Amino acid sequence: MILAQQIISGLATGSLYALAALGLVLIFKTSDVVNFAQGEMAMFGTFFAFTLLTTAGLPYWGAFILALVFAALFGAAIERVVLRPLSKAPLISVLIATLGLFQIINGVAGWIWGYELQPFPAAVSGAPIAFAGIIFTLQNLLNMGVALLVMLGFFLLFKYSILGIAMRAVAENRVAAKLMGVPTDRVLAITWGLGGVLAATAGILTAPVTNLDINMMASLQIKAFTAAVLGGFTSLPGAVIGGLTLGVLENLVGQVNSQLQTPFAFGLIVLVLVVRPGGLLGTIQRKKV
Amino acid sequence: MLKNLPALIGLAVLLVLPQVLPSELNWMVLLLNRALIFAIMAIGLNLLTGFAGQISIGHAAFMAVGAFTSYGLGKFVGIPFWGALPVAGLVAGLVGYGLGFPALRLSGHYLAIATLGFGVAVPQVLNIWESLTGGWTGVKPPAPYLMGISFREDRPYYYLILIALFLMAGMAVNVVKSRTGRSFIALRDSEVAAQAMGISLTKYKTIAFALSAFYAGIGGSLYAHLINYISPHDFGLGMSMELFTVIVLGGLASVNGSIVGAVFMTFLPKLTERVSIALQRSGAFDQSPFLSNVFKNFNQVLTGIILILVVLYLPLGLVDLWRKLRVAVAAKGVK
Repeated sequence: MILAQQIISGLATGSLYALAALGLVLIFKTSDVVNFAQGEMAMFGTFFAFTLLTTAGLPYWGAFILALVFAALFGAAIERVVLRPLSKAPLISVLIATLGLFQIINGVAGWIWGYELQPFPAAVSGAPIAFAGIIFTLQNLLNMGVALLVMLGFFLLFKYSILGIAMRAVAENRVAAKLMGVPTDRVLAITWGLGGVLAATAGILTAPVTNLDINMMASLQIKAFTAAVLGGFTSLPGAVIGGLTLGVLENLVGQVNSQLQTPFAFGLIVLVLVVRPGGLLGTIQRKKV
Repeated sequence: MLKNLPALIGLAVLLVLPQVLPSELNWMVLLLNRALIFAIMAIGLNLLTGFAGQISIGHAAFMAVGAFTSYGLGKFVGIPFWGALPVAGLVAGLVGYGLGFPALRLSGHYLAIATLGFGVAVPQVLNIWESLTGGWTGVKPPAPYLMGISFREDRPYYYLILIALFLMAGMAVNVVKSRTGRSFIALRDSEVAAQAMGISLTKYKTIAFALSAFYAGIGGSLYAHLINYISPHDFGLGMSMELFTVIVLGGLASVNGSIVGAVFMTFLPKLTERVSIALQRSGAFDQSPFLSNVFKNFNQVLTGIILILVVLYLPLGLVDLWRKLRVAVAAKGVK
């Protein structure tokens, strides 16, 4: 029973990792950029929601939705201003640019909101529910529910909508997509917007547990990378499975020594990349000469 | 000759600078010490990232290995700084060699992620190892002694570091010109083509990691005995990012650039601090809490902006300015 309980809490944490990883994978798949600023975009969106909640006094759902809208615009703006001019630059330049974004977003958040830890209100409060001897806190249920909903939404979007098809076309071959009349620039901006939305969702759901400060996403970011690598980095379902697996494994490791969680995640990254570079569900990209 | 002119002037300035500084600028010597140590590490990172094309954004972890090896050897084995310094480099190099193996399978993004994880994981592991590292409280490595000369003072230590920098920079220049260096460059430009020419990926990638970690280990040891207080958390992502920024700003694949970048990035925070103190005295911070927040981490934002601007407008770094200047002058002469 204790094991089952651990697995359930692991899945709840894991669904947050999955959301964050989903954003990373989405951006990587479409624009070939590993976004090191993803966690900071999440943090910024969360602070925005916090301001709407406390200063503007909006109801929770209102603040949540507005924050997501903001995150979408923010993501698209980053693509337009920083990434688009670098679309032909070598990989290392793009990496450096996202690391620079990381510093800027983190720093500017400190300018605006200060450096103290702020309590972030929980979306739901109430007594935990016991079911078959396993205790579910409402926050855990919400996390899993939202994650599930978002993943389902993305699945449908990718599979059936015109936008989803355009995104897959850009991911497959940008030049060919452009020749077929896909507005690739706009698709990329939208992808970054969606990545921002996913990040902010993960941030807002994490904040009640970790509380709010400018470095709240530091460890989640590493976990999201691990989840994405575990799932294969090119596969959206892979990111979800990677996130959930990591959540459960890490919760079990945390029982031994909670300080070992991040070293464990690093070990897992190395192990996966060495043993199975394609991850659980990804495909290995072979370079053609 | 003209090509090397800035390097020669730079060397002359570095040689005499601590002697000609007026005593009210004594604080600058400590900063210079720090800058030159970072220059050593940046040269190492540049061998790996600039020449061999292998990105590492967790490089401060190797520095931590060097720093704590050097401290531990002195404290528990009784080996003085002079013996511990090369060993610290070698141990860090060995760790780098070890990391080189998983890195063989990785490139680009994946390597960046793996080294990021490494950079976060090592300080945490060291933090658990309290008997060596002191955990959160940290430890106090002593200042070195030699034949009655105490290196507790900044000026003697400065020349010690300068000699180390000179040797390490010379070694880097020679490595780059050797078969090994040419193999690094070939691997960076195309792994497939390099392998087709018979260059062993395994051999040279692991060498690049080991060599670069060796530099970081030496730097870490020098840093520990200069600052005299270290804890595992000093070597986190912040320091790794600073090292990374140094080589990008100074110039990838440039030894001189590493030195220029290190000096720039060490003195930049001091400049901001001066402005900040002046503003605080003038009472501007009391009127605007925002302004006070801005100056608490102004450098971080500035670092980010520098990274992006360099990538967009000066991809070859600060050292490229001199070349651009010469080209511009030459073009004028032709007209």
